Amino acid sequence: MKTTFYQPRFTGERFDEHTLPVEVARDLAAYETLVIELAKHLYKQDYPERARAPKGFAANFRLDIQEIGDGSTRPLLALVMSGVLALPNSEATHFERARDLIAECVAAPDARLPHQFPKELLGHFNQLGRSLRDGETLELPLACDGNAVLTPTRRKELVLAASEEYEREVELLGYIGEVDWEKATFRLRLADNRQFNVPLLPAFRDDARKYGGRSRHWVVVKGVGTFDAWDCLKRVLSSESAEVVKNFDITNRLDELRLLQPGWFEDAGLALNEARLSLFAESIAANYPDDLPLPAIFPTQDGNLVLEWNAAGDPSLDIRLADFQASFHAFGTDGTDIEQNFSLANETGWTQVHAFLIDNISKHTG
Amino acid sequence: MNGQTLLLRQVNPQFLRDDHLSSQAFFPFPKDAGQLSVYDGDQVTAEAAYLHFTQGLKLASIGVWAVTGGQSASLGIVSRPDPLPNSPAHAVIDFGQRNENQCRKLAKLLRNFAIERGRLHPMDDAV
Repeated sequence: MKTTFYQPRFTGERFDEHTLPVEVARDLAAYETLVIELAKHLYKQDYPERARAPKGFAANFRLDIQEIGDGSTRPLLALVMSGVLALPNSEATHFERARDLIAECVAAPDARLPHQFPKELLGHFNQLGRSLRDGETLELPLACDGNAVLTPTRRKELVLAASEEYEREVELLGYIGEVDWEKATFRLRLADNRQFNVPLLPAFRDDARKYGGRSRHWVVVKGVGTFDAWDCLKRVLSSESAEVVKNFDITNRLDELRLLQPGWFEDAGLALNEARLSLFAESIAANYPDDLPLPAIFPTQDGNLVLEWNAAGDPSLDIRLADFQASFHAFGTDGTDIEQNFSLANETGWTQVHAFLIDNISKHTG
Repeated sequence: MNGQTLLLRQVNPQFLRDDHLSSQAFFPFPKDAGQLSVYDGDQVTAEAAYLHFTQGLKLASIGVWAVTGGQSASLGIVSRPDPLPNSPAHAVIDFGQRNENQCRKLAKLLRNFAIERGRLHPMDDAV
């Protein structure tokens, strides 16, 4: 038996095209779970003599997306019941009461959450609304007129009304301090020295083995974390993706330089050619030797690059982006200059320059 | 201007990374035909030069470093006044017709003189 159940509305930039981002569908799944749990609770309140809801109470209930309506994104949810629930005068009313109570709870002031809504179910707002971004809302029609509006902030408030922590999506950047193969986690050390244990995805095992302990190579982790009321990350609960950024400092600096606008230097400096810079970034980050000190990278006024090392002899490598010609210079210990030109247009050139730099650049100890 | 004169150089923010001052800060812009713009320290203080550059000319500077006329001359580079209508204290360190490799070497040496002196304005967290 299928009946129209509810039509919430998503608002925000992502929903302007009247499409439903796939990740938002998880919120609807979380909504379905909360409706079931709350309906069970209401049933048990109505029949305190019964230890649990009838068999099949949850299994025979589901919500389907029937259509996406106009006006931002308004998924029309249909209630599909089977088995005993599909019989006339069955328990549908508990699901409908749960639906209305959820909206009432979202709309209520913090200090006056509806007493029928059990505090232990507020944790479901860790999932329901988690994909909402700043500026986005999920509007839940109230039984009376109007809508309850779930925002990221309201979601956080609801969870914290019953708990000291709440969950939300998180993106972290750091390097792999160490891998715990037994627990299948790795320790991610962030730039601000905080560190978190992150669940190790099976697909990331090879990268974790290869880049573990190599602080130049960073990892972007996307997942779900637990935060306190002050939005301080406490734990990483799960990871959905992990991606290595090789030689992060180099990549990050070249990304910054990509943003330079014409006129950056005294109204006249040339911007760097984006396509050539991307090619260069790819090449230098891919195979930069771990035993070679990292260079400081600077733009030149004519739209090229100079790499400088804080090392004896003030070594530098001028890079002409148009043809990837490189010109090395350092002051030798005997008062002479060390100079060498390279073509970095192919892999051989990079191999040669790496070998040359390792030979000629020693870490400055003064 | 003489050998003791501070030649005040405004450094573009792109030329300072962490504590590394790039030699590019003392590398003449090709379009300026080998002439590196500085302020004549006999006419203006480092602070006044900074304010003129950033607020008067509305150009970007992370601070003022300097070499003396004598240090410049020790490298075989001439410095001289070059007053402009909107910048009477303007002066230049003239690299002449030197090629890019020669300019790179001289820029490093000027940069090293400037680092020894430290940033003159703003004075905090000098390199």
